[in-house]
Amino acid sequence: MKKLSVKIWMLLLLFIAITIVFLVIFTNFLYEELYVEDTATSMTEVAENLQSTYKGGAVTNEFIKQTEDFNRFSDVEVFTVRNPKELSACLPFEIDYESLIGPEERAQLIEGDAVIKRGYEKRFNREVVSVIYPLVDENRLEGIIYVYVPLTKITEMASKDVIFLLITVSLLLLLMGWISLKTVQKVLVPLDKLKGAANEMATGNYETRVDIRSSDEIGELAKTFNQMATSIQEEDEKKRDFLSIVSHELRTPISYIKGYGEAFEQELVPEEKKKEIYTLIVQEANRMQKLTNDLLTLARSEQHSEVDISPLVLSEVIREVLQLVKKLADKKQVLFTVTIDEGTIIKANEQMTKQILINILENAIHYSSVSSIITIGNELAKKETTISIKDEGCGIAPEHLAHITERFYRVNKARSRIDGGTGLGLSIASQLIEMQNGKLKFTSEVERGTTAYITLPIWEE
Amino acid sequence: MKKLYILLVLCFIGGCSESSFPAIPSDTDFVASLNTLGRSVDFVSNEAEIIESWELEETYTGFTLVTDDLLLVYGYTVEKAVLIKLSTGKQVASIDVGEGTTNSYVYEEKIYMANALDNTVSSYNTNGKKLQTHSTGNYPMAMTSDGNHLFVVNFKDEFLSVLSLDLEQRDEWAIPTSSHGLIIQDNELWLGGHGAGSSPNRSIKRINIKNGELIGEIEVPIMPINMARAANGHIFTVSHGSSTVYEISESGEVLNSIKAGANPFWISSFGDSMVLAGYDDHQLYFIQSDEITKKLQVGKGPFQLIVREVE
Repeated sequence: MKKLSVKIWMLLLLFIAITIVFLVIFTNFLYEELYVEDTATSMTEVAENLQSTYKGGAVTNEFIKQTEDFNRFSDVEVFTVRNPKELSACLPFEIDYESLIGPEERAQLIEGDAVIKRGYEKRFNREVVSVIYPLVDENRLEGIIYVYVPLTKITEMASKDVIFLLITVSLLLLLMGWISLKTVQKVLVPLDKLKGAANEMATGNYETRVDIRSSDEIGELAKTFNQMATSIQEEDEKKRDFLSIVSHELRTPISYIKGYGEAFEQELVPEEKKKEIYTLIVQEANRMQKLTNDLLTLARSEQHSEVDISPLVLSEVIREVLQLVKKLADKKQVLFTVTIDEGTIIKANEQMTKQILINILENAIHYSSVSSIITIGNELAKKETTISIKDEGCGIAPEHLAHITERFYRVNKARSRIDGGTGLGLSIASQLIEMQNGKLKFTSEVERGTTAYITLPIWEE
Repeated sequence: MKKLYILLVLCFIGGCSESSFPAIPSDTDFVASLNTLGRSVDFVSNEAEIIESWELEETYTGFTLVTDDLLLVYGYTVEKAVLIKLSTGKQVASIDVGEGTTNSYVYEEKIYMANALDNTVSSYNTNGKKLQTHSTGNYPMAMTSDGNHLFVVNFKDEFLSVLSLDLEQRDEWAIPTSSHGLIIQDNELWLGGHGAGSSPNRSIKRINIKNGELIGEIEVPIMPINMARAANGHIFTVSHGSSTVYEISESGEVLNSIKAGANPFWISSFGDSMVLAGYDDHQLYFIQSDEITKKLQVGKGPFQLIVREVE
């Protein structure tokens, strides 16, 4: 496969060659046209002058001599012809002689008109421009004045310097070729860089960037490439963090279960402690199960599969969800104040919506203080409704608020395990809301509580 | 059968109507010019007036009077020579001569035709039937006869063929190439021509009619190519290179010369005058002695003349 640079270069070279050839031909043409026109004019003058000295009758030797004398000092070739054979006088007869003029020219000359022609003349064995003036006496073509100039071609004219000309043209071609090659290479260097960078990326080196600052299409391409590389790198980092967190999160319960298991195996656990340790093992196993379930949910939601949307009565959904979290709330004696518009019908997936509400409510209960109230309400807009869930918990500092939907992000890192959360609840909620064309927003005041706003589209008939 | 008859009659009528020209009354004297460029024939009276004009359909390059009422026309590029009855203007016969006919000569109602493509001379009777053929040198053209022999000038060759009237080879005499124009004067054959190569011929060669020896030359510059005998026995020759007519005595002395016509190729004796055809100026000149008495415009390119003088 030929490289692009070679292709472009060859194309350029071809164009240059065509241009040079065209210029040579055009110059030749122009030269001939101007030269011929100019020469014909001057020759006509010469012939007219000579013709004016003809006094009629047979063409005399003096007249011929006069023409010859003129020829000696003129830069055009002039001669007078009176031989009838040269003048096609024997025309109806097939004469074995090549005459100087043809039948049509003879007829034209007898009429007294001049003949101007250009082309190959056998007599002179070359291309000539000739002007022929008749010497007519009473309809008799007594002779002709023949004026001609060889049509020297530029190449013929410069025949001495033809090698010089060839060398010059060749050098010019070489120089143009070299310049065009360098130009093409310079133009294509950024593409080469981009190719190298893409190769680097392919081998997993996501830190690769291309350094191209031009503002043309290639510059744009390089900028886009760099953006892409940054995105890939960020995603890669996120993935790594995520994996390390997941493995960390799983390792903790596993080491608990393993430790207690070994203690049981070596019969190091006193009888009175056994029940407590069984509870702990079950608790850790539950945590692991919850964690794996959450991870599965997250993975599924990331697949962006088709979401099955249907009309849902919002108050109904909330009532059902509150039943599910009631046990958890009762433990902390948390109460709910619900003011949901009974007529609100949302356009959402039932399972997903329930999951969203459970995750957010569980989170709210977790961070609520004992015997506090969680207020649930909704506000209708034109095409959507915003469900607010307000707790009276410890609140979240502004610097953390933006990150709480990130996976495994914890405001209080020390609390994480005791809370029993997986650190994925809000992340899952956020993802599921997004899948249903909704929005999730939080406002919070430290020590006063946090409010989650879930915006979902409403069902329109 | 009836239909067939009608068809035959129609064919006959159609055939007869072909190449019909204005008739030339039998009792009229004329000099006729064949105008090769204009493809026409002009019949001119003794008063230098055009009696009749014929428009020709083919490019005929020559014509000959076979009898007083029978005209033969032929052309170098025309395959058929045609015999036309002057008194009716109708074609009476056509002769399949093939392309290449350069000249015809009639002697005692026998037509001799020279062909420059086959390089032959063939004889025909007045019905157009071919009698004999004999091969000649390169490009046979000018012909004449002394009653015993037919002299044929080979235009592109260096000899003249002497044949019997039955077209049998008799002799070959050396002559210059591009010779043309032939007349018998006493025991001499006078021969003109254009001249070989680039140099134009300036004289008439006097050749012994018995053995072909060159007896002498008559200086008549330049390019004498046609000769005619006047009523007074003088020979008139036309030198087309200088557009000059020379009057020569029976013994070969140049008596007079006159510049006439533009590039004339033919001269004929008609009544008291010599008639000259100017090829380039398309005019006929009536000359008496050394004076042009009349001239008239004819069709383009008068190349050849024939004369009919009814007894």
